Amino acid sequence: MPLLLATTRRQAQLTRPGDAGREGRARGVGMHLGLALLALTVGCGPSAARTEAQAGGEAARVVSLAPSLTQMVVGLGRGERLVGATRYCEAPGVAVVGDARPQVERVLAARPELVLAPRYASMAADVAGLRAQGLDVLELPLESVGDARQAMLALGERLGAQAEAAAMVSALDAAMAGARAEAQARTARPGVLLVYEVADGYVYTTGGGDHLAEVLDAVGARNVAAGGALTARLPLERVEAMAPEMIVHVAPSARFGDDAAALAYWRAASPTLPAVVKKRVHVWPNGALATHGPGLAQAVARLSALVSAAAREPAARPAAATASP
Amino acid sequence: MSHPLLTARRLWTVLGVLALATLAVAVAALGFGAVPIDLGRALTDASSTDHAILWGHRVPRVLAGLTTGAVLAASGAALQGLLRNALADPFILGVSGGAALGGALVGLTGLAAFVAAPVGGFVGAALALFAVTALAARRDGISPLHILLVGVVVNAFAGSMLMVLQALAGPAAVQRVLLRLMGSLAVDPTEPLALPVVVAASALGLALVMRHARALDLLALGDDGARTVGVDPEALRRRLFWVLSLPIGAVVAATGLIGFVGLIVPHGVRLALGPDHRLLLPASALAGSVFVLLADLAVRWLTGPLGTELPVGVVTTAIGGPLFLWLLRRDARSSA
Repeated sequence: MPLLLATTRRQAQLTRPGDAGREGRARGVGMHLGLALLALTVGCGPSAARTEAQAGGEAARVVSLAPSLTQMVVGLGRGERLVGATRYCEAPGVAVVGDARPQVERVLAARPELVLAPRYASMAADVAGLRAQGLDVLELPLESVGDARQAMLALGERLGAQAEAAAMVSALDAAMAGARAEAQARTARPGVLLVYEVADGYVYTTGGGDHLAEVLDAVGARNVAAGGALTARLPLERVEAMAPEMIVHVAPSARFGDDAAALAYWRAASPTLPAVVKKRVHVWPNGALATHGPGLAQAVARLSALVSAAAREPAARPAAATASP
Repeated sequence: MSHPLLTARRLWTVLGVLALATLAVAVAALGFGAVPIDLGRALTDASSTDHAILWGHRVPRVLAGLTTGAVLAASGAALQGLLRNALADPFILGVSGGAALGGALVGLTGLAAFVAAPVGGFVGAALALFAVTALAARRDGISPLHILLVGVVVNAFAGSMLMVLQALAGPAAVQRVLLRLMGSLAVDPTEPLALPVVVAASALGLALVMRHARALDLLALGDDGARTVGVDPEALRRRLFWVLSLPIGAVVAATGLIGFVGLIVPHGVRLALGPDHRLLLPASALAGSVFVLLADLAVRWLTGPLGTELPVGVVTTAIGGPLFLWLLRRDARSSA
């Protein structure tokens, strides 16, 4: 799933805003026709949804189209207002209304007063379609740490949880500031490989341009894949040359459920990597690091501690001169 | 174009030259990759990064490239002879699509054994091959256009079934299978038996196909003509479909969809060396290895400027797609 989310972000970045707008308009005509028919079949017409929406007011029925936004709603103490979420959201008991893209019929059937959507070019047409139905859609950019702060505050405003949002933002700011202070106190900048997925001899990682690159910089680590694509697919031989001193799988998966499973893999795949020799291979226990939710503050603090520990011991072998992707 | 008669001397001379070319490209592929390495140090210093890169990643990758190219190109040559259709190719006929579906089905059922995906690929390839030829067969034989259309349908069917699997299976499993289907030669070092299984299946399949080189030549006389010289066309096709499914299935399940190798390489070899399958099959295998290794070198070189590695099928399709269209137009003109 982390790779899937990363890929969605990549699509968002690769599609120019102007192109997304044109694409959205072209697809809009067909979508509007489909939605009109859809409204008849589900018995939940756009007018009904529109009358319940209180644009700009405090929303009692919320649909979230991104795991990060779902986490924020729950973190703000408004989880009971969720009436729809994606397949990838952690929201037990809440209706699933889509996966990487929303299923408009399901969103309408949830009768939301507010739809929360990430501002991705790949989702622009869906958002336009939902708005055409009279739904109140709050679109929020989710790329940087700054985006996360803004999203928390905006959600607090719309859900009547301003104080909780301010506390959430303060925690994130404090974690980032604490990490920066700790990083400034040391000179070593350990090379870290962030892993979305490992499959068939390839590592899927981030080349920068997202919140993970920002977090790595704050904790005083060096992204060994910096300068590559937002979601970079790198052969393992390149990872050998990058010689990361720490490997972090940004979320657990069926194959890499914990540190031991990941270390066992890396020992078999690249046993001489400094990170493997030093046993600095970690699997993040949840999705907090990979997403922009309230758990990001805690994730920053923990990553900072791990990087500090790595910085105290030198690398087992020097990185090759050609380590950048 | 006329070609000199095939003699033992000509056969071994041509194959020797091609083998040397393959060796040269393989050595280049070992020495050049995503990062530069010192081959001398890699061979002498076991503690060096160069050693780890060469033996842990590059040697398996080059072996995978050699095998994949050989299988796809030789299979294309054999299919073109079997079906007497210049446009036959495992990718175009839907055989690779069937193999991919078979491998994905097995992968999504949770069978993680190293033989599971190749077996699934073999079954998928065989079913697709038999389905395509059965659906394309008419009383007067298999028309080139008809079998291409059926191949399109089988490919579309395999693609839609993959989408069904994607919708039904868990995100993690789907992700794993889809990543494999992208088409790449990198080998997972934590599955040390996977590559030997693929190489063994490929070697066995290609050796069996080679045994039928003369019969493939006689099939060029037409089904009736072949019968008059003792070749049973239906039996030969049935046997070779099974035989070809083994290496195609194993290779596609392991390396994903790498298109058009089976089309353009045999065409080039046939133009240069003539249609005799005793030379065409092994020469296509060697030239296919060279072609796939060169395509892989290109994607590895592009990793630097792009910051990410493209699937090798991007390069093979970029070359093979236009050539396929040209062949299609040429055949349409010649049959008009």
